[in-house]
Amino acid sequence: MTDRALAFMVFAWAFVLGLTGWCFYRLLKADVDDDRLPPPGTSL
Amino acid sequence: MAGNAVGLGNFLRFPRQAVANGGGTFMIPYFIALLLVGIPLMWVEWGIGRRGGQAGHGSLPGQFSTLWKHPVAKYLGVMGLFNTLIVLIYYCYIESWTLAWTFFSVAGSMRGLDEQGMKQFLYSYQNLSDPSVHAVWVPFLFFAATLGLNFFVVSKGISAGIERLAKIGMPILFLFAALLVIRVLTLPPAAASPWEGLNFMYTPDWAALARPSVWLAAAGQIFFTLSVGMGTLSAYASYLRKHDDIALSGLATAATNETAEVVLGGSLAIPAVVTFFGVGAAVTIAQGGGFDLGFISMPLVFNQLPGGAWVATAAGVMWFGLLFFAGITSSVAMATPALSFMEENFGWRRQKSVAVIATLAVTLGALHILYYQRGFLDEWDYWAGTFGLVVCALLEVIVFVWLFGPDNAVAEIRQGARMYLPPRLLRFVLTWVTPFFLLVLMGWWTVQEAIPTLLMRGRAPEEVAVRWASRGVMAALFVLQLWLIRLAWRRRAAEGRPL
Repeated sequence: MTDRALAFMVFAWAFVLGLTGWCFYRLLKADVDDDRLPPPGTSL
Repeated sequence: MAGNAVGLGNFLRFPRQAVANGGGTFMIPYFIALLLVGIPLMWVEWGIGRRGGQAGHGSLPGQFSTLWKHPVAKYLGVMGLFNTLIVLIYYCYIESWTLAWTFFSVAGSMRGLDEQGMKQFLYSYQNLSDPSVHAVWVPFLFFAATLGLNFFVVSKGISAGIERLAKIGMPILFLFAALLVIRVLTLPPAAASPWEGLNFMYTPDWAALARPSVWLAAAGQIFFTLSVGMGTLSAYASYLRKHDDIALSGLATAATNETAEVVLGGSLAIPAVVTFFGVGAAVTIAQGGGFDLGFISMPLVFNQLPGGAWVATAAGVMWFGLLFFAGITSSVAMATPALSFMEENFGWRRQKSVAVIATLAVTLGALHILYYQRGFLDEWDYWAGTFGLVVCALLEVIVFVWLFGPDNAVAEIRQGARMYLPPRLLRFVLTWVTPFFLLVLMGWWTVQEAIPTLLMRGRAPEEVAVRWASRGVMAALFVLQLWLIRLAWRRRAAEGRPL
């Protein structure tokens, strides 16, 4: 694998994995309330 | 939501697009489109859904009329019913192939086939007039089984059906994909090494950045992969409460989808094909389309894996199993807007709505099986599954941002947000950048594809009548849905319910 191709792959993987990791870290850190309302006009 | 977004396109469409549009450099316009079109549209759809849900609307006609108090608004929302119903029907047919190929992998039906044999295996399934491999009833059986599974899940409702499917299906999908990626990347070199496959995927072609078609291909890929412009995200978001977060959750949905697409989807088919057939053959295969890549080349790869028959079986089950789970978690989402519409406007019970939509899907799906080779499905895929999505997304931005008001739209998205969104930047992107991208995309596609497609340029004469019939069925469904919206609002007015 060439250095240029490797650099692009690392950039792409780091971007998506970093973004995903950051989002889930923030979501897990947040105080999630699991209560749910009935859906609008539909049966659960 | 992530189950809805992660679909067949992550594993079959993305690698082909990347290879055909500049390799590594494709990632630059791809990520720019993600930031300027994909994620903003994700927030727009979640915003429309949560706002509409507060007024009891689970589909776009009602959601649009909540945002824009004009009699036309509800009719614009027809796109959210039309796209999802049309795509649901033909998507279930494609999904049924993945179920069939999972079964064939277990049964060992493809073991020992060469390239010609594998092609014949697929084409006989797609073409009922060629029963050389598959009996005529086989595609119907797997289609019926796929529809049955889909409608069984949606009949159970959101919590007991769709959420439960996603909780089971998504981990299996990621597990299968991760195991296959590890296997592919640790393969001994044959025609080439798997890392040469990744090299082929990611080698930058800087000249590609100067081609508008590459930027549009990137925007198009982002568009399809995130399932924006369908009305499914807003249907799911209608179940949220007023102060539930949509900013971080929407971003997490997009990010999860991108991980599945870039890290897993990008490391599977192309590296595997390059390993066994070399770079030259991989170019030809990639140009042949996603179905050839997924249903011909990958089984050929599995047949050559070291370890014997059981390894080929396990790899086949994992590959087609992951495609099936990617497909079904998306298709159950597509059924949701139509079901919500019938239940909230006509007071139908879920079982009745499911029975009616399932009957329609079986009937129209049979036409896809009968006339697949003559382009019946291609027409639906283009007009609803491609062009219709851009039209719907543009309408969503116009209604939510321009007509509801940019400040209201920004406030709606930031309400309950668990992350900071700079309001002025968000307002600028939503008001100008995202609509500009969509208009350019729609304009380009109209000139480059829609007009030639409409005029049947380059079509075989024997296909023309079937393609027009296919359009006729779509047009009839479109008019039927407009009529149902009219009927629903008359009924609401007569009952004194809010319009």
